[in-house]
Amino acid sequence: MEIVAFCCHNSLDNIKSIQKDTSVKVNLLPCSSKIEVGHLLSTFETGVDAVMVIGCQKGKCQFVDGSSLAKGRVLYTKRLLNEIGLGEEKIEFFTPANSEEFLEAAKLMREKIK
Amino acid sequence: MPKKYHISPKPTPNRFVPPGKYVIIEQDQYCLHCPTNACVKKDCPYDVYAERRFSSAELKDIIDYLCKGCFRCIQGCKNNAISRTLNPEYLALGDEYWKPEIITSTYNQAETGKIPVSGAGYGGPFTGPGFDSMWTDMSEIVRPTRDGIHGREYIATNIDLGKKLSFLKFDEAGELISEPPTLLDLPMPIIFNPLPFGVLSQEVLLAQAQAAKILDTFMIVNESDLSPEILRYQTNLIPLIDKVVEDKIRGFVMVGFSDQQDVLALIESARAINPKIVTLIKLKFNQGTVERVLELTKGGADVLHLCADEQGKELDAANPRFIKEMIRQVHLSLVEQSLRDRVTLIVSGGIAEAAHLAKAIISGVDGVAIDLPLLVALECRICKNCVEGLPCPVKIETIDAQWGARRMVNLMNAWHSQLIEVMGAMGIREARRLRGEVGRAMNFTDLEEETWK
Repeated sequence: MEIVAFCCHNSLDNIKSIQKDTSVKVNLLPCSSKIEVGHLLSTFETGVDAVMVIGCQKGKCQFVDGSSLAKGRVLYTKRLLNEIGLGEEKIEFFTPANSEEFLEAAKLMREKIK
Repeated sequence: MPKKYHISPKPTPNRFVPPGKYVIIEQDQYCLHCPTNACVKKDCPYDVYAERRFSSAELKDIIDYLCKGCFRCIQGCKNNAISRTLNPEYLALGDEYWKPEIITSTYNQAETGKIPVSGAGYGGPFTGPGFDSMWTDMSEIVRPTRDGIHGREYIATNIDLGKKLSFLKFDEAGELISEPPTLLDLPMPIIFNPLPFGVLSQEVLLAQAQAAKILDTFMIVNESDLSPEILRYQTNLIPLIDKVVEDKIRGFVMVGFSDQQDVLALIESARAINPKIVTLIKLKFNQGTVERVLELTKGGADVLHLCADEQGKELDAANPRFIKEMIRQVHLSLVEQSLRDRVTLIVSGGIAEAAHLAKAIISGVDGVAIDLPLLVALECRICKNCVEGLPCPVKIETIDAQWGARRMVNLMNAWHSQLIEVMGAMGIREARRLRGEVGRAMNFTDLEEETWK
């Protein structure tokens, strides 16, 4: 099972600790709004099982509304995934406060797509 | 005129997209949807918006690698929908010594084999810690010595590996009776050190050995890594052995030993088996190095390899000094005792770019041994995930040996060209003459002290 996480680097405190979860491939981004709908769909094209987009908690985004923008893109991608029959549960937006919460979210994602 | 040493670089693309320094972020909620022809993305002089694609191998947009940072799109966008920020992946490269600039520049040199050009003008800083506090002389930059750089005259980068006699003895008939020791000619003052970390497969070792063969240099190799495939490059290998047995040294022109109590006896026994063999002693660069170097030189050592840590700092010290100062101390101690030409000094640790090579030689060594730059040529990010048991982000273990060798050869070609540039600018036509030539360099720390004391 392969999960890809597009992570805003400001949202996580310890990148090394989340890399220990080898079932999740972490892609660091300067802001979660860097990821676009086309990129998310292309990621599914490579055959990954699920995608997590990790943004900052409310009020903490350094790009002010980058996190909400990324959330909107994830919701739009969910709609597209439903339309093509892949299922919206394969992508989720999370705003973990620290690396422990990230690992919890990854666990949740794994259970969701089992 | 001797035959010119020539390396043939061959463009060898990266396997992974290197992280760009900046990242472009498009915030489409601000997009005014200008007519297609009026969109700033059409005006990109490098066509990055047209050429961008999503790399499915790495799951990232390659636009940040293609972007040259001219800011045209950012300044031109009517509603500021495009912005740029520093790339966290770029900032995560390396550490405080192996800076992201050094690593990305090494990728570039390994890919093209050419001298990196960073743009017109340099905004500074003009000095810094370590090798950055040494400025090399550029007095001859416009004089005919430039001919050496353009190939009309020869700037020799050769050095000798081995010891030299202090004097020659002749018999009464005037015939030479001294037996000159073996001197190996190294066309470039660089040898390869074993790679310090990384998921090192057989292919990685083979790449290093092949590159050593192509460059006509040597590769120090741990005895445990000597496989039949590696032994095909035997004449370019320096095996690090712990005891002298005929089987272990047969076929090698040079062997290495780690410094130990009876190392001089080991050297003597190696010479007893093969009088022509050149020996190397690997020493830790620490507080006691000067005394040990003097002792080993007097004892008849051929080549001494002084190993600092990977950031070029003294080992086993509370306040470690940088290799530049330590090399100077060792060099001057040998000069004071008229022993400098009796031994070849090689240093390793902290040699991260071509300028460091020239500066280490100016400080007083004959040549350098490099390891990490070779690993970076194979796209290593120096993230040290491998040391912590995490997977390598660029899967170094899966490289093809030939690809790896080409990347290393390209990097060495770029370093060789830069060494010639620096020597040409200084008016020096022999790498052997560059050794200890501090008169052709200025040390910022010394200048500051002289000015403000």
